[in-house]
Amino acid sequence: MTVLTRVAAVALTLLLAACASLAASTGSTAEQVAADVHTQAQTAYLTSEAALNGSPKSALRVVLEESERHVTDALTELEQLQGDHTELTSLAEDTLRAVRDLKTAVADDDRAAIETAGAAATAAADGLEAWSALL
Amino acid sequence: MKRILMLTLGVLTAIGGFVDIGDIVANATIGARYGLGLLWVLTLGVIGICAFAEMSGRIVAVSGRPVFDLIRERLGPRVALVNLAGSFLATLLTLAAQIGGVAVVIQLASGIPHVVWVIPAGLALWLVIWFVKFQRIEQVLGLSGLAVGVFGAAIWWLDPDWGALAGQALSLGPAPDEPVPTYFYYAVTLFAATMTPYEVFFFSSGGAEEHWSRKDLGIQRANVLLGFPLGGVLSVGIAGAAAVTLLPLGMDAETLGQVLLPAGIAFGLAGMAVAMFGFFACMTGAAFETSMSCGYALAQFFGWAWGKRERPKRAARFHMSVAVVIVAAIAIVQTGVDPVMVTEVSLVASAVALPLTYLPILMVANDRVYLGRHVNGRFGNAVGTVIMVVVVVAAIAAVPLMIATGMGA
Repeated sequence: MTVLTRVAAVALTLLLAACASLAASTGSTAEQVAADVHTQAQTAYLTSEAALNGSPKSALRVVLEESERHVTDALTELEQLQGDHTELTSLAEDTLRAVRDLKTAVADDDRAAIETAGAAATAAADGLEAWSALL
Repeated sequence: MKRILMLTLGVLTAIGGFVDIGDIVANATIGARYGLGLLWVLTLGVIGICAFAEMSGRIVAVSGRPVFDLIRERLGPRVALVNLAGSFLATLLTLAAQIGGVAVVIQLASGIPHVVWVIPAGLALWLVIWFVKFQRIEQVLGLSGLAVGVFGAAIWWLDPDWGALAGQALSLGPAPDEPVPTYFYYAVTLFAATMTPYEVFFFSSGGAEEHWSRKDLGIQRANVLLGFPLGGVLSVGIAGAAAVTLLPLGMDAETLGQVLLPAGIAFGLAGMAVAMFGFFACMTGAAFETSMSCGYALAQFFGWAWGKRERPKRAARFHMSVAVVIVAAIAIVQTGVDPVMVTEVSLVASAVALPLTYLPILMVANDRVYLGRHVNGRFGNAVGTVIMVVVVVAAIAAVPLMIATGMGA
Protein backbone atom coordinates (compact mmCIF):
# COMPACT_ATOMS: atom_id res chain seq x y z
CA MET A 1 0.00 0.00 0.00
CA THR A 2 1.50 3.34 -1.03
CA VAL A 3 1.57 6.34 1.27
CA LEU A 4 -1.01 8.06 -0.94
CA THR A 5 -3.39 5.08 -0.67
CA ARG A 6 -3.02 5.06 3.11
CA VAL A 7 -3.74 8.78 3.31
CA ALA A 8 -6.81 8.29 1.08
CA ALA A 9 -8.01 5.40 3.27
CA VAL A 10 -7.66 7.46 6.44
CA ALA A 11 -9.48 10.39 4.80
CA LEU A 12 -12.32 8.12 3.64
CA THR A 13 -12.66 6.56 7.10
CA LEU A 14 -12.85 10.00 8.67
CA LEU A 15 -15.41 11.13 6.12
CA LEU A 16 -17.63 8.10 6.76
CA ALA A 17 -17.32 8.43 10.52
CA ALA A 18 -18.18 12.09 10.30
CA CYS A 19 -21.12 11.48 7.94
CA ALA A 20 -22.50 8.89 10.35
CA SER A 21 -22.92 11.57 12.98
CA LEU A 22 -24.24 14.22 10.60
CA ALA A 23 -27.77 13.88 11.91
CA ALA A 24 -26.57 14.32 15.47
CA SER A 25 -24.62 17.41 14.43
CA THR A 26 -27.26 19.32 12.56
CA GLY A 27 -30.73 18.07 13.58
CA SER A 28 -33.89 18.38 11.47
CA THR A 29 -34.58 21.37 9.22
CA ALA A 30 -37.18 22.73 11.64
CA GLU A 31 -34.69 22.45 14.52
CA GLN A 32 -32.07 24.28 12.47
CA VAL A 33 -34.56 27.02 11.64
CA ALA A 34 -35.52 27.28 15.32
CA ALA A 35 -31.85 27.52 16.33
CA ASP A 36 -31.24 30.29 13.81
CA VAL A 37 -34.32 32.26 14.91
CA HIS A 38 -33.29 31.74 18.55
CA THR A 39 -29.87 33.23 17.77
CA GLN A 40 -31.55 36.25 16.16
CA ALA A 41 -33.88 36.73 19.14
CA GLN A 42 -30.92 36.67 21.54
CA THR A 43 -28.99 38.98 19.20
CA ALA A 44 -31.87 41.44 19.43
CA TYR A 45 -31.80 41.20 23.22
CA LEU A 46 -28.02 41.86 23.33
CA THR A 47 -28.43 44.69 20.83
CA SER A 48 -31.00 46.29 23.13
CA GLU A 49 -28.49 46.08 26.00
CA ALA A 50 -25.78 47.65 23.83
CA ALA A 51 -28.22 50.36 22.69
CA LEU A 52 -29.15 51.21 26.30
CA ASN A 53 -25.43 51.61 26.96
CA GLY A 54 -25.07 54.15 24.16
CA SER A 55 -23.53 52.03 21.38
CA PRO A 56 -23.42 53.59 17.88
CA LYS A 57 -26.72 53.46 16.02
CA SER A 58 -25.19 52.62 12.65
CA ALA A 59 -23.59 49.41 13.92
CA LEU A 60 -26.71 48.36 15.82
CA ARG A 61 -28.87 48.99 12.77
CA VAL A 62 -26.60 46.75 10.65
CA VAL A 63 -26.77 43.99 13.29
CA LEU A 64 -30.56 44.21 13.43
CA GLU A 65 -30.98 44.32 9.64
CA GLU A 66 -28.92 41.13 9.44
CA SER A 67 -31.14 39.52 12.11
CA GLU A 68 -34.27 40.67 10.28
CA ARG A 69 -32.99 39.08 7.06
CA HIS A 70 -32.25 35.79 8.85
CA VAL A 71 -35.70 35.61 10.46
CA THR A 72 -37.45 36.54 7.19
CA ASP A 73 -35.52 33.74 5.43
CA ALA A 74 -36.47 31.37 8.27
CA LEU A 75 -40.18 32.20 7.84
CA THR A 76 -39.94 31.56 4.09
CA GLU A 77 -38.27 28.23 4.81
CA LEU A 78 -40.99 27.29 7.29
CA GLU A 79 -43.70 28.07 4.72
CA GLN A 80 -42.08 25.62 2.32
CA LEU A 81 -41.51 22.94 4.94
CA GLN A 82 -43.95 20.02 5.07
CA GLY A 83 -45.87 19.38 8.29
CA ASP A 84 -47.47 21.55 10.94
CA HIS A 85 -45.13 24.30 12.13
CA THR A 86 -47.72 26.74 13.45
CA GLU A 87 -46.09 27.22 16.84
CA LEU A 88 -42.60 27.68 15.43
CA THR A 89 -43.91 30.08 12.78
CA SER A 90 -45.67 32.09 15.46
CA LEU A 91 -42.47 32.30 17.52
CA ALA A 92 -40.48 33.36 14.45
CA GLU A 93 -43.06 36.08 13.77
CA ASP A 94 -42.77 37.27 17.38
CA THR A 95 -39.00 37.45 16.90
CA LEU A 96 -39.35 39.37 13.66
CA ARG A 97 -41.71 41.84 15.32
CA ALA A 98 -39.30 42.33 18.23
CA VAL A 99 -36.36 42.89 15.86
CA ARG A 100 -38.30 45.43 13.79
CA ASP A 101 -39.61 47.25 16.87
CA LEU A 102 -36.11 47.40 18.25
CA LYS A 103 -34.76 48.79 14.98
CA THR A 104 -37.33 51.60 15.12
CA ALA A 105 -36.68 52.23 18.82
CA VAL A 106 -32.91 52.44 18.28
CA ALA A 107 -33.39 54.85 15.37
CA ASP A 108 -35.69 57.02 17.56
CA ASP A 109 -33.39 56.77 20.59
CA ASP A 110 -36.49 55.74 22.57
CA ARG A 111 -35.15 54.00 25.71
CA ALA A 112 -38.52 52.74 26.90
CA ALA A 113 -39.29 51.20 23.52
CA ILE A 114 -35.78 49.67 23.40
CA GLU A 115 -36.41 47.99 26.76
CA THR A 116 -39.83 46.74 25.64
CA ALA A 117 -38.49 45.32 22.37
CA GLY A 118 -35.56 43.72 24.23
CA ALA A 119 -38.00 42.03 26.62
CA ALA A 120 -40.13 40.84 23.68
CA ALA A 121 -37.01 39.35 22.05
CA THR A 122 -36.17 37.53 25.29
CA ALA A 123 -39.73 36.19 25.53
CA ALA A 124 -39.48 34.90 21.94
CA ALA A 125 -36.11 33.27 22.73
CA ASP A 126 -37.63 31.60 25.82
CA GLY A 127 -40.53 30.34 23.71
CA LEU A 128 -38.12 28.89 21.17
CA GLU A 129 -36.15 27.16 23.92
CA ALA A 130 -39.36 25.66 25.30
CA TRP A 131 -40.34 24.53 21.78
CA SER A 132 -36.95 22.84 21.31
CA ALA A 133 -37.16 21.18 24.73
CA LEU A 134 -40.48 19.55 23.78
CA LEU A 135 -38.90 17.70 20.82
CA MET B 1 18.64 51.88 23.68
CA LYS B 2 17.82 51.85 19.97
CA ARG B 3 17.79 48.04 19.98
CA ILE B 4 15.44 47.96 22.98
CA LEU B 5 13.13 50.37 21.20
CA MET B 6 13.29 48.23 18.05
CA LEU B 7 12.53 45.13 20.09
CA THR B 8 9.57 46.75 21.88
CA LEU B 9 8.17 48.07 18.63
CA GLY B 10 8.68 44.71 16.92
CA VAL B 11 6.96 42.81 19.71
CA LEU B 12 4.02 45.24 19.86
CA THR B 13 3.70 45.04 16.08
CA ALA B 14 3.73 41.24 16.22
CA ILE B 15 1.04 41.26 18.93
CA GLY B 16 -1.27 43.57 16.99
CA GLY B 17 -0.46 41.91 13.67
CA PHE B 18 -1.23 38.41 14.94
CA VAL B 19 -5.01 38.76 14.75
CA ASP B 20 -6.88 38.68 11.43
CA ILE B 21 -10.45 37.98 10.32
CA GLY B 22 -9.82 34.23 10.58
CA ASP B 23 -8.83 34.56 14.23
CA ILE B 24 -11.73 36.91 14.93
CA VAL B 25 -14.38 34.70 13.33
CA ALA B 26 -12.98 31.41 14.66
CA ASN B 27 -12.52 32.67 18.22
CA ALA B 28 -15.91 34.39 18.40
CA THR B 29 -17.76 31.40 16.95
CA ILE B 30 -15.98 29.00 19.27
CA GLY B 31 -16.34 31.30 22.27
CA ALA B 32 -20.12 31.46 21.72
CA ARG B 33 -20.38 27.69 21.38
CA TYR B 34 -17.71 26.22 23.66
CA GLY B 35 -16.60 29.18 25.77
CA LEU B 36 -12.87 28.79 26.38
CA GLY B 37 -13.18 25.03 25.82
CA LEU B 38 -10.83 25.06 22.82
CA LEU B 39 -8.11 27.10 24.50
CA TRP B 40 -5.85 24.06 24.25
CA VAL B 41 -6.08 24.24 20.43
CA LEU B 42 -5.21 27.92 20.43
CA THR B 43 -2.25 27.20 22.70
CA LEU B 44 -1.09 24.40 20.41
CA GLY B 45 -1.46 26.68 17.39
CA VAL B 46 0.51 29.48 19.03
CA ILE B 47 3.31 27.05 19.94
CA GLY B 48 3.26 25.85 16.32
CA ILE B 49 3.36 29.28 14.73
CA CYS B 50 6.13 30.37 17.12
CA ALA B 51 8.21 27.29 16.28
CA PHE B 52 7.82 27.59 12.53
CA ALA B 53 8.06 31.39 12.34
CA GLU B 54 11.27 31.17 14.37
CA MET B 55 12.61 28.56 11.94
CA SER B 56 11.70 30.62 8.89
CA GLY B 57 13.17 33.78 10.46
CA ARG B 58 16.38 31.90 11.25
CA ILE B 59 16.56 30.54 7.70
CA VAL B 60 16.30 34.07 6.31
CA ALA B 61 18.75 35.57 8.80
CA VAL B 62 21.40 32.91 8.18
CA SER B 63 21.01 32.21 4.46
CA GLY B 64 19.87 35.70 3.41
CA ARG B 65 17.17 34.09 1.27
CA PRO B 66 13.45 33.68 1.93
CA VAL B 67 12.17 30.23 2.82
CA PHE B 68 10.23 29.50 -0.36
CA ASP B 69 13.14 30.42 -2.56
CA LEU B 70 15.06 27.65 -0.79
CA ILE B 71 12.13 25.23 -0.93
CA ARG B 72 12.08 25.42 -4.71
CA GLU B 73 15.82 24.84 -4.82
CA ARG B 74 15.69 22.04 -2.24
CA LEU B 75 12.59 20.14 -3.44
CA GLY B 76 12.70 20.89 -7.15
CA PRO B 77 10.19 22.82 -9.25
CA ARG B 78 7.51 20.10 -9.47
CA VAL B 79 7.02 19.58 -5.74
CA ALA B 80 7.43 23.31 -5.18
CA LEU B 81 4.66 23.94 -7.74
CA VAL B 82 2.23 21.84 -5.68
CA ASN B 83 3.37 23.80 -2.65
CA LEU B 84 2.86 27.07 -4.51
CA ALA B 85 -0.61 26.14 -5.81
CA GLY B 86 -1.95 25.04 -2.41
CA SER B 87 -0.52 27.89 -0.40
CA PHE B 88 -1.35 30.50 -3.05
CA LEU B 89 -5.02 29.53 -3.28
CA ALA B 90 -5.40 29.45 0.50
CA THR B 91 -3.72 32.85 0.76
CA LEU B 92 -5.83 34.36 -2.04
CA LEU B 93 -9.03 33.25 -0.27
CA THR B 94 -7.66 34.65 2.98
CA LEU B 95 -7.01 37.98 1.23
CA ALA B 96 -10.58 38.02 -0.10
CA ALA B 97 -11.85 37.37 3.42
CA GLN B 98 -9.77 40.25 4.84
CA ILE B 99 -10.98 42.72 2.20
CA GLY B 100 -14.56 41.58 2.77
CA GLY B 101 -14.05 41.96 6.51
CA VAL B 102 -12.74 45.51 6.10
CA ALA B 103 -15.81 46.33 3.99
CA VAL B 104 -18.12 44.91 6.69
CA VAL B 105 -16.40 46.95 9.41
CA ILE B 106 -16.91 50.11 7.32
CA GLN B 107 -20.54 49.05 6.85
CA LEU B 108 -20.94 48.75 10.63
CA ALA B 109 -19.48 52.23 11.07
CA SER B 110 -21.39 53.89 8.25
CA GLY B 111 -24.57 51.85 7.81
CA ILE B 112 -23.92 51.62 4.05
CA PRO B 113 -23.89 48.02 2.63
CA HIS B 114 -20.52 46.32 2.53
CA VAL B 115 -20.58 45.60 -1.22
CA VAL B 116 -20.27 49.36 -1.78
CA TRP B 117 -16.99 49.37 0.16
CA VAL B 118 -15.25 46.37 -1.40
CA ILE B 119 -13.70 48.18 -4.37
CA PRO B 120 -12.70 51.31 -2.37
CA ALA B 121 -11.17 49.07 0.32
CA GLY B 122 -9.18 47.09 -2.27
CA LEU B 123 -8.10 50.25 -4.07
CA ALA B 124 -7.03 51.89 -0.81
CA LEU B 125 -5.04 48.78 0.06
CA TRP B 126 -3.21 48.91 -3.25
CA LEU B 127 -2.47 52.64 -2.83
CA VAL B 128 -1.07 52.02 0.66
CA ILE B 129 1.14 49.22 -0.67
CA TRP B 130 2.29 51.46 -3.53
CA PHE B 131 3.02 54.65 -1.60
CA VAL B 132 3.72 53.80 2.05
CA LYS B 133 6.95 52.29 3.34
CA PHE B 134 6.96 48.64 4.38
CA GLN B 135 7.95 49.21 7.99
CA ARG B 136 5.52 52.10 8.42
CA ILE B 137 2.57 49.97 7.26
CA GLU B 138 3.53 47.14 9.59
CA GLN B 139 4.04 49.40 12.60
CA VAL B 140 0.95 51.58 12.20
CA LEU B 141 -1.43 48.70 11.51
CA GLY B 142 0.22 46.33 14.00
CA LEU B 143 0.08 48.89 16.82
CA SER B 144 -3.50 49.89 15.91
CA GLY B 145 -4.47 46.22 16.03
CA LEU B 146 -3.76 46.27 19.77
CA ALA B 147 -7.17 47.99 20.07
CA VAL B 148 -8.69 44.50 19.85
CA GLY B 149 -7.57 44.23 23.48
CA VAL B 150 -10.88 45.99 24.27
CA PHE B 151 -12.51 42.53 24.30
CA GLY B 152 -10.23 41.43 27.13
CA ALA B 153 -11.13 44.61 29.01
CA ALA B 154 -14.82 43.91 28.35
CA ILE B 155 -14.53 40.50 30.02
CA TRP B 156 -13.07 42.12 33.11
CA TRP B 157 -15.68 44.89 33.08
CA LEU B 158 -18.61 42.47 32.75
CA ASP B 159 -17.31 40.64 35.83
CA PRO B 160 -18.15 37.07 34.76
CA ASP B 161 -18.06 33.85 36.74
CA TRP B 162 -14.29 33.43 36.65
CA GLY B 163 -14.52 29.89 38.01
CA ALA B 164 -16.75 28.86 35.09
CA LEU B 165 -14.33 30.46 32.61
CA ALA B 166 -11.40 28.65 34.22
CA GLY B 167 -13.37 25.40 34.09
CA GLN B 168 -13.96 25.85 30.36
CA ALA B 169 -10.30 26.69 29.78
CA LEU B 170 -9.17 23.51 31.51
CA SER B 171 -11.59 21.19 29.69
CA LEU B 172 -10.14 19.01 26.95
CA GLY B 173 -13.16 17.61 25.16
CA PRO B 174 -16.70 18.42 24.04
CA ALA B 175 -19.59 18.59 26.51
CA PRO B 176 -21.68 15.35 26.60
CA ASP B 177 -24.50 16.94 24.53
CA GLU B 178 -22.13 18.32 21.86
CA PRO B 179 -21.50 16.31 18.66
CA VAL B 180 -17.86 15.19 18.52
CA PRO B 181 -17.33 15.90 14.77
CA THR B 182 -18.51 19.50 15.20
CA TYR B 183 -16.12 19.96 18.11
CA PHE B 184 -13.21 18.72 16.00
CA TYR B 185 -14.30 20.76 12.99
CA TYR B 186 -14.00 23.91 15.11
CA ALA B 187 -10.71 22.65 16.57
CA VAL B 188 -9.30 22.30 13.04
CA THR B 189 -10.49 25.76 11.93
CA LEU B 190 -9.08 27.40 15.06
CA PHE B 191 -5.75 25.63 14.57
CA ALA B 192 -5.70 26.75 10.91
CA ALA B 193 -6.59 30.32 11.91
CA THR B 194 -3.65 30.41 14.30
CA MET B 195 -1.19 28.86 11.86
CA THR B 196 -2.41 30.46 8.61
CA PRO B 197 0.27 29.76 5.95
CA TYR B 198 0.66 33.38 4.85
CA GLU B 199 2.09 34.28 8.26
CA VAL B 200 5.36 32.47 7.57
CA PHE B 201 5.36 33.45 3.87
CA PHE B 202 5.19 37.06 4.91
CA PHE B 203 7.47 36.74 7.91
CA SER B 204 10.29 35.14 5.95
CA SER B 205 9.99 37.36 2.86
CA GLY B 206 9.59 40.47 5.01
CA GLY B 207 12.78 39.45 6.82
CA ALA B 208 14.59 39.25 3.51
CA GLU B 209 13.18 42.67 2.57
CA GLU B 210 14.57 44.09 5.79
CA HIS B 211 17.93 42.38 5.20
CA TRP B 212 18.00 40.33 8.38
CA SER B 213 21.39 38.85 9.19
CA ARG B 214 22.83 36.60 11.90
CA LYS B 215 23.06 39.54 14.29
CA ASP B 216 19.27 40.01 14.05
CA LEU B 217 18.58 36.46 15.22
CA GLY B 218 17.98 37.53 18.81
CA ILE B 219 15.52 40.29 17.92
CA GLN B 220 13.55 38.21 15.44
CA ARG B 221 13.38 35.38 17.99
CA ALA B 222 12.11 37.76 20.67
CA ASN B 223 9.54 39.21 18.28
CA VAL B 224 8.19 35.75 17.58
CA LEU B 225 8.41 34.25 21.06
CA LEU B 226 6.93 37.29 22.81
CA GLY B 227 4.77 38.86 20.09
CA PHE B 228 2.86 35.84 18.85
CA PRO B 229 1.89 34.44 22.28
CA LEU B 230 0.75 37.88 23.40
CA GLY B 231 -1.15 38.15 20.10
CA GLY B 232 -2.75 34.85 21.10
CA VAL B 233 -3.92 36.56 24.29
CA LEU B 234 -5.86 39.07 22.14
CA SER B 235 -7.55 36.10 20.45
CA VAL B 236 -8.42 34.64 23.86
CA GLY B 237 -10.01 38.01 24.69
CA ILE B 238 -12.34 37.71 21.67
CA ALA B 239 -13.27 34.12 22.57
CA GLY B 240 -13.69 35.06 26.24
CA ALA B 241 -15.96 38.02 25.47
CA ALA B 242 -18.18 35.73 23.38
CA ALA B 243 -18.07 33.13 26.16
CA VAL B 244 -19.26 35.68 28.71
CA THR B 245 -22.06 37.27 26.68
CA LEU B 246 -23.18 34.93 23.88
CA LEU B 247 -22.65 31.46 25.36
CA PRO B 248 -25.04 31.89 28.33
CA LEU B 249 -27.80 32.84 25.86
CA GLY B 250 -27.22 29.70 23.77
CA MET B 251 -26.70 31.68 20.56
CA ASP B 252 -24.22 31.45 17.71
CA ALA B 253 -21.88 34.18 16.46
CA GLU B 254 -22.54 34.40 12.72
CA THR B 255 -21.68 37.99 11.87
CA LEU B 256 -18.99 40.52 12.77
CA GLY B 257 -21.73 42.74 14.21
CA GLN B 258 -22.62 40.07 16.77
CA VAL B 259 -18.92 39.72 17.66
CA LEU B 260 -18.82 43.46 18.47
CA LEU B 261 -21.78 43.40 20.87
CA PRO B 262 -19.81 42.49 24.05
CA ALA B 263 -17.66 45.62 23.58
CA GLY B 264 -20.82 47.71 23.18
CA ILE B 265 -22.51 46.16 26.21
CA ALA B 266 -19.43 46.81 28.36
CA PHE B 267 -18.31 50.23 27.17
CA GLY B 268 -21.06 51.60 24.88
CA LEU B 269 -20.01 53.92 22.07
CA ALA B 270 -16.32 53.99 23.04
CA GLY B 271 -16.12 50.19 23.29
CA MET B 272 -17.68 49.55 19.93
CA ALA B 273 -15.65 52.30 18.26
CA VAL B 274 -12.38 50.92 19.63
CA ALA B 275 -13.35 47.37 18.66
CA MET B 276 -14.27 48.43 15.12
CA PHE B 277 -11.01 50.36 14.82
CA GLY B 278 -9.09 47.31 16.03
CA PHE B 279 -10.87 45.01 13.57
CA PHE B 280 -10.23 47.48 10.76
CA ALA B 281 -6.51 47.68 11.58
CA CYS B 282 -6.09 43.91 12.00
CA MET B 283 -7.88 43.09 8.77
CA THR B 284 -6.17 45.82 6.76
CA GLY B 285 -2.80 44.67 8.11
CA ALA B 286 -3.62 41.08 7.21
CA ALA B 287 -4.83 42.17 3.75
CA PHE B 288 -1.45 43.86 3.24
CA GLU B 289 0.38 40.74 4.39
CA THR B 290 -1.69 38.32 2.32
CA SER B 291 -1.51 40.34 -0.89
CA MET B 292 2.25 40.72 -0.49
CA SER B 293 2.54 37.01 0.32
CA CYS B 294 0.81 36.08 -2.94
CA GLY B 295 3.29 38.27 -4.82
CA TYR B 296 6.24 36.86 -2.88
CA ALA B 297 5.18 33.25 -3.54
CA LEU B 298 4.77 33.76 -7.27
CA ALA B 299 7.95 35.81 -7.70
CA GLN B 300 10.10 33.45 -5.64
CA PHE B 301 8.83 30.39 -7.50
CA PHE B 302 9.32 31.84 -10.96
CA GLY B 303 12.59 33.57 -10.07
CA TRP B 304 11.39 37.13 -10.73
CA ALA B 305 12.92 40.18 -9.11
CA TRP B 306 10.76 40.89 -6.06
CA GLY B 307 10.39 43.11 -3.02
CA LYS B 308 8.36 46.09 -1.94
CA ARG B 309 11.56 48.12 -1.85
CA GLU B 310 12.35 47.22 -5.45
CA ARG B 311 11.36 49.88 -7.93
CA PRO B 312 8.35 48.84 -10.04
CA LYS B 313 10.45 49.00 -13.20
CA ARG B 314 12.90 46.45 -11.81
CA ALA B 315 10.30 44.16 -10.24
CA ALA B 316 7.39 44.80 -12.61
CA ARG B 317 5.99 41.25 -12.52
CA PHE B 318 6.06 41.16 -8.72
CA HIS B 319 4.24 44.49 -8.37
CA MET B 320 1.80 43.53 -11.11
CA SER B 321 1.00 40.20 -9.44
CA VAL B 322 0.26 41.96 -6.12
CA ALA B 323 -2.16 44.27 -7.97
CA VAL B 324 -3.76 41.34 -9.81
CA VAL B 325 -4.38 39.29 -6.65
CA ILE B 326 -6.04 42.32 -5.05
CA VAL B 327 -8.32 42.60 -8.09
CA ALA B 328 -9.06 38.85 -7.92
CA ALA B 329 -9.88 39.10 -4.21
CA ILE B 330 -12.16 42.08 -4.87
CA ALA B 331 -13.91 40.07 -7.60
CA ILE B 332 -14.58 37.23 -5.14
CA VAL B 333 -16.10 39.47 -2.46
CA GLN B 334 -17.91 41.75 -4.92
CA THR B 335 -20.15 38.83 -5.89
CA GLY B 336 -21.98 39.59 -2.65
CA VAL B 337 -20.83 36.43 -0.90
CA ASP B 338 -20.84 36.73 2.90
CA PRO B 339 -17.26 37.60 4.02
CA VAL B 340 -17.72 35.40 7.11
CA MET B 341 -18.50 32.46 4.80
CA VAL B 342 -15.38 33.28 2.73
CA THR B 343 -13.42 33.31 5.99
CA GLU B 344 -14.73 29.89 7.00
CA VAL B 345 -13.86 28.42 3.59
CA SER B 346 -10.43 30.07 3.67
CA LEU B 347 -9.76 28.50 7.07
CA VAL B 348 -10.56 25.04 5.73
CA ALA B 349 -8.39 25.73 2.65
CA SER B 350 -5.59 26.90 4.97
CA ALA B 351 -5.93 23.74 7.04
CA VAL B 352 -5.54 21.61 3.91
CA ALA B 353 -2.53 23.65 2.76
CA LEU B 354 -0.77 23.60 6.14
CA PRO B 355 1.56 20.62 5.44
CA LEU B 356 2.56 22.13 2.08
CA THR B 357 3.85 25.16 3.93
CA TYR B 358 5.26 23.73 7.12
CA LEU B 359 6.87 20.42 6.09
CA PRO B 360 9.38 22.10 3.73
CA ILE B 361 10.27 24.64 6.43
CA LEU B 362 11.07 21.80 8.83
CA MET B 363 13.23 20.17 6.14
CA VAL B 364 15.16 23.33 5.25
CA ALA B 365 15.61 24.21 8.94
CA ASN B 366 17.47 20.90 9.31
CA ASP B 367 19.65 21.36 6.23
CA ARG B 368 23.28 22.17 7.12
CA VAL B 369 23.98 23.26 3.54
CA TYR B 370 21.83 26.34 4.16
CA LEU B 371 22.00 26.82 7.90
CA GLY B 372 25.37 25.39 8.96
CA ARG B 373 25.53 25.30 12.74
CA HIS B 374 22.19 27.14 12.99
CA VAL B 375 20.11 24.06 12.09
CA ASN B 376 17.31 23.01 14.45
CA GLY B 377 18.36 21.66 17.83
CA ARG B 378 16.72 18.65 19.47
CA PHE B 379 14.10 20.76 21.23
CA GLY B 380 13.20 22.63 18.03
CA ASN B 381 12.86 19.38 16.12
CA ALA B 382 10.79 17.75 18.86
CA VAL B 383 8.34 20.68 18.88
CA GLY B 384 8.38 20.89 15.08
CA THR B 385 7.68 17.17 14.69
CA VAL B 386 4.79 17.14 17.18
CA ILE B 387 3.23 20.17 15.49
CA MET B 388 3.81 18.56 12.08
CA VAL B 389 1.81 15.49 13.15
CA VAL B 390 -1.06 17.75 14.25
CA VAL B 391 -0.78 19.72 11.00
CA VAL B 392 -1.08 16.55 8.89
CA VAL B 393 -4.05 15.23 10.91
CA ALA B 394 -5.78 18.63 10.63
CA ALA B 395 -5.15 18.76 6.87
CA ILE B 396 -6.59 15.27 6.31
CA ALA B 397 -9.61 15.81 8.56
CA ALA B 398 -10.52 19.35 7.44
CA VAL B 399 -12.64 18.67 4.35
CA PRO B 400 -14.45 15.54 5.64
CA LEU B 401 -15.33 17.38 8.85
CA MET B 402 -16.51 20.42 6.91
CA ILE B 403 -18.82 18.30 4.74
CA ALA B 404 -20.06 16.09 7.54
CA THR B 405 -20.89 18.89 9.95
CA GLY B 406 -22.29 21.30 7.36
CA MET B 407 -19.48 23.74 8.27
CA GLY B 408 -20.06 23.32 11.97
CA ALA B 409 -23.84 23.70 11.91
